[in-house]
Amino acid sequence: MIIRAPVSFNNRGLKTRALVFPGDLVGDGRPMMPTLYAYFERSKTYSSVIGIPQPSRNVIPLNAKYVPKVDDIVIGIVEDIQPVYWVISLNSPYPGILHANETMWEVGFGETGKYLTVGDAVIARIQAVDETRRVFVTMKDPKARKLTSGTIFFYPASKVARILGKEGSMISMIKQKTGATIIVGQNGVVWVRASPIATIVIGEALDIISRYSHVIGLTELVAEYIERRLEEHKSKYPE
Amino acid sequence: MKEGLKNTRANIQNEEEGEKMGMEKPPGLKLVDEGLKRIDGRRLDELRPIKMRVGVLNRADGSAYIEWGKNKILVAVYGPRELHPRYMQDPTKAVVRARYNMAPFSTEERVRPGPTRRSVEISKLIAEMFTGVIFIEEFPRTAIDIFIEVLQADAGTRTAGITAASLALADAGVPMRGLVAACAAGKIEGYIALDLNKEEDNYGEADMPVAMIPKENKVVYWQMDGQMTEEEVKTALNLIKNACQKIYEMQKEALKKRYIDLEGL
Repeated sequence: MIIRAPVSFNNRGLKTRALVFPGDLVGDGRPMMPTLYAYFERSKTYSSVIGIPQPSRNVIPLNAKYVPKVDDIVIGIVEDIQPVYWVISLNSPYPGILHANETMWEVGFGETGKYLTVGDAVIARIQAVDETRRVFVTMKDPKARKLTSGTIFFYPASKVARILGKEGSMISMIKQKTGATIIVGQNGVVWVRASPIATIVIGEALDIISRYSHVIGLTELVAEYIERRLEEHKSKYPE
Repeated sequence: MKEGLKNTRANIQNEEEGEKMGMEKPPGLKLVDEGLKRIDGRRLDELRPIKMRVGVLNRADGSAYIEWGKNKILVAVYGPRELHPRYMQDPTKAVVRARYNMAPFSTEERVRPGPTRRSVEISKLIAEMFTGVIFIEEFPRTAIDIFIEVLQADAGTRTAGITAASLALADAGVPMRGLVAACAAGKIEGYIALDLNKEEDNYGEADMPVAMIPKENKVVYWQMDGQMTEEEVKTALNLIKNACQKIYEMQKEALKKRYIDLEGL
């Protein structure tokens, strides 16, 4: 289930990081790592998206689709069932194939539907990506499993780093303040298991993080927001 | 029978000719006065007032709204996304699709809904133009969809649409070489003028919409209707180049408003 929370958030006086727009100069020389979001021409690197420029002449985009990468842990939704495989939607232009042999179950031919049906959510690992971006996922991983409870939220994959925060500071702060179990897939899908009120508040907080990802001092703002909202709910619905 | 056919053909040709020439100019209408001012009070090298907003639709990956004189245009961008039917997928690059559409209520006389000869042509050209601007090789087997909806038209909708579409693409996070700005110039009563409005377009001699990447000073789209000499085309192109730089600044301003001043977030 997807919750789109109505968020009221005062954005006046917020400071943002410097941004570049498509075609803007990022720096002299090549990007240190090959990237989709900047291009090199006539000894200079230019941005190809709206994003935050990095000293490495890379650009972190504000909005980007998930491009599957081997060994990423992702959260996917079963889109289609075939006799020996499932098609998993990965919040990306490229769906993943999950073969029956790549699960922890002993799946017979045509029995795929007994284990996962359309709409089920799974945590899986990207096993392989070929040159035309056909994606194969596997559940033979200690982190992989079928999700049977909780709530799922979808965000652009470029927001994952901000949702986690530096060394996981943002996500651990949210977990600690709400007592929730949260798993963030590299594809921008976030799974939350918490009390109904905490789930709503976390959804709102994630919306804020996603929309204001380039604002300076976001962790403190979100912490304040969560505290305020939990307090409001507590006074509204006393136990 | 033969004569009848001939007649119809001649009629059709006359009609087409009539469409090309525009309506008869009302007697007494002067498009440019003695002080080189146009009917809406602009100088020959002046743009109409332009307003842009980015991120106006929640469902789309990227969106933009532009008011250009009396033109009002809404653009939505989706993608890169999975392309169906599968046979349309290109294993080496993304397919850019565009739809330029005029709302039935966009002009004085109702436009019949659905694709027309004109809108099919404009859609095709816009799609091909953005194919060259977007890094399509980065997203094999996908589609990037651009929807340009003209809500109110007053000449120059394709240039306004392209300008807004490039903002919407940037908003959607589609990697591209740079922002695209577009503007038209034409010939009215013998003068070369920038950014024709409806009267000037209908009763003028020529209209030339051009789109470019102002950052690189590169022309990516060029059409012309009517007749101009080589010199006149050069003058018009120079006017357009200067105007595109101005439009580019406005585009950046609109993006700044959205992302740095956090307006509308």
